Amino acid sequence: MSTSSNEVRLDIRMSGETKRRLSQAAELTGASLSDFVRRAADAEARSVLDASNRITLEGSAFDRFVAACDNATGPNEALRRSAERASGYRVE
Amino acid sequence: MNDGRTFVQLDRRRHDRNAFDCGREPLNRFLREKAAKHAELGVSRTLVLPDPNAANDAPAPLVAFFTIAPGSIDRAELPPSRAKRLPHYPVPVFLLGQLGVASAFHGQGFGSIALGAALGKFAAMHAELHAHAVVVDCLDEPAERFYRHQGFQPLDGVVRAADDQVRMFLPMRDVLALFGASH
Repeated sequence: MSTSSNEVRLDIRMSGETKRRLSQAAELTGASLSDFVRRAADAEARSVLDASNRITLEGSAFDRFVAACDNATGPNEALRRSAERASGYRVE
Repeated sequence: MNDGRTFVQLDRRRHDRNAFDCGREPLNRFLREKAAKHAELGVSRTLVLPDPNAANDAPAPLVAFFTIAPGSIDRAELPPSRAKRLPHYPVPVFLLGQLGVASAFHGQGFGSIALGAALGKFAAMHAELHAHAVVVDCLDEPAERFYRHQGFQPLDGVVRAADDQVRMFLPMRDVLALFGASH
């Protein structure tokens, strides 16, 4: 892996046991220890950030959700009133 | 400037998060401990309505707040091959995660004002992020009743989400119809 000028360092402490396991796993995949840890940590970070705003539905529920969005019946009276009340307000 | 009619981004220095009490501790705690942090992390944004009658030099008490974020809805399994023309998924949605009104201001319509303001914001954001729906978190029964009254439907069949709160949704088409925006 080539180093580029916008890379930064991260020093972390871990137990000898964890480091041994990481090294073994890296060797098994043929990656350097640094590459292995970088990739694994980044994948975990992405999945945590993703999951925070992601909702997964059962297949049939997903299909119903999409159909309901396509066949919207229009805002009801209460929602119209809410929009009207809010019309005097701004959102930055 | 604080005209009492503008929802602004939560600011640790300008807004009094600690005194805020909407009568629901999880919402109070979210505003106190998480809202600003989540904004820094880019997970969500919290917009607050400062009390216009506040003294100028102190952090302003808050009338109401709501939290918005882009999100997505995914399908757990692949559709059968005969399924026709399903959209690519996950499909984008707008999340309205938290919405609270200070107890001192209850009964004055600020809940529906905050909801209307949030939907107006989503209608404006829709130009850049084409969302299918607005999804709200319902902390308790009263929240569920409120959103149901406003035309939201239950979001059923959730198999995975950040937490196990009840969620409801409103098609984005309804939001756009309200604000005269085109699809």
